Amino acid sequence: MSRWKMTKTRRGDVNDQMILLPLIIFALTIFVMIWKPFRINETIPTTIGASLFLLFGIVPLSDLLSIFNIVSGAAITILSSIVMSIILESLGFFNWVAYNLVNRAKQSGLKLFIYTAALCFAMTLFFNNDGSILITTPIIIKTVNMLNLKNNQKIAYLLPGALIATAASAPIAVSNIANLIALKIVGLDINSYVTLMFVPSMIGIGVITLLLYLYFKKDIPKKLPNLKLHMKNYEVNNRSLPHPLSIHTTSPQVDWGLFKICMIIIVATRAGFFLLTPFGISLEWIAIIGAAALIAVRWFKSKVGVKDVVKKTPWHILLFAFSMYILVYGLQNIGLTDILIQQLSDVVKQDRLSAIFTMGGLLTVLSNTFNNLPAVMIGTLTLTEMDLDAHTLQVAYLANIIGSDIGALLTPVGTLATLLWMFILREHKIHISWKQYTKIAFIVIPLGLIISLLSLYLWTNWIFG
Amino acid sequence: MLVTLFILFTGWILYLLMKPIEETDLPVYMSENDPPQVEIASLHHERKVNEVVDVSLENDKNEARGCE
Repeated sequence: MSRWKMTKTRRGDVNDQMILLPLIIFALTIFVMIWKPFRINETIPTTIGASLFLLFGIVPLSDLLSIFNIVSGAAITILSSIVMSIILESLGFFNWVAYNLVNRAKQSGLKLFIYTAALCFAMTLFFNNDGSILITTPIIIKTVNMLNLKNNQKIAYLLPGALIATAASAPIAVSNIANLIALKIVGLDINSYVTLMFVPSMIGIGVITLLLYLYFKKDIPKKLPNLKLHMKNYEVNNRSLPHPLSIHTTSPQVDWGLFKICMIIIVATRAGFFLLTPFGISLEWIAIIGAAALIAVRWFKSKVGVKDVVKKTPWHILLFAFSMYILVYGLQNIGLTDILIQQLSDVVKQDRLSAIFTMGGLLTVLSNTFNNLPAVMIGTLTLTEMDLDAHTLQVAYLANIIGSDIGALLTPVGTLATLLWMFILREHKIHISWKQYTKIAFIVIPLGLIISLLSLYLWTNWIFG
Repeated sequence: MLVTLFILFTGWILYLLMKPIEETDLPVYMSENDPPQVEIASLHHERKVNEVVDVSLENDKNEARGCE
């Protein structure tokens, strides 16, 4: 047993320095991860922090294998969905979405709002929240730039898109690495998750979407400019307004037959998660088979190998999830979760309503303090040590997820996806300050969060009887 | 089972959002008051038509600059 474990087990002899060092390392790691100086990848600070935890013996080396087993499946599942989006992008399928949004909106600002919201929701459902932000934000930017909208009108489409994309990781669990890791910790299967969580989280997303629409109603143009976009005058690679007379005789040819096959594989993979896991097939294997099928189809149809996929896949996610879990595991070792258990155990055990609102509220605060990925891990580890009955453990865990997926949207710090979104907007010279973001989020998110948590209480009461 | 149906439905929505509307369908979405559309591809070949289109598209460009 390491000296850190001793600290945990003998609470009376707690050595302040032994607690202080891990807390400072953790705080610095999260600060650098959010700040991203010199645009460093978030994996660098978390890996350094985790290495220090191992070096100081805060997490014993003997625990590494069990930590790897917990995070590897989730990381592989998310990596596979990223591979799928890389393949779709390589085939040029995302290039036409802005064109389609403009044409399908039929000059209606409201229709464009609905279509962008639907796009962001669906992209998260089929890929993952960070990937959805990375793909949909440039598409929406291209759309609003083509329409020559003013800055406030652009934000009216971009911010709801980002919030919906991030919140959309709650309904089916497989769109967010934190949710998948937490799912493994509490030992809940995804079908049970969906049975309990789908309705409450969808109600929450619906409320948030409605509130966002009401907030931005005055900024959403009633009638959009008529661009008369044709496939031949649409600038696939240009983010500006297309010249009405521009004609691309060399416009990229897209194989729409291949697109249909790819979409079938993507939808089948997602559906396979729910249909095949009851037969003991693990999520990561279904995800790997789906990604491999897409690679094979692309190779068969266009003879493109896997080189670009290997190059573009963010393999560091595996290391990121692993090192983040080491950090959280270390905090558990120094007794941080014990403090939370001491403070919250009685309230959580009181009744289900208290459990839901306590954990949902706690995760909202933790996520907005130091990001939802470590927050959801800390919250879930806390719950597993509270000695709760099975039903209370499940609903409190789901409240954790609502807090970390919806409550976390209160500030840009809450999720990596929103930080990523702010970064993309800055790159495209679309101005939104942290103050502006937070002001809008504080109007929309608290009500969405409360209704989601209340729906979770009513829904789970109805399910459990 | 219901979640599978929901995934299929959302997949269909995503398919519709990603697959471009066919060129032949586009005139349906233009309002009745819009100036007559000319097949842009034909501009390569017909200089006379080009002049007419320039006028109507200039108006559209002015429209496109501001929005209600």
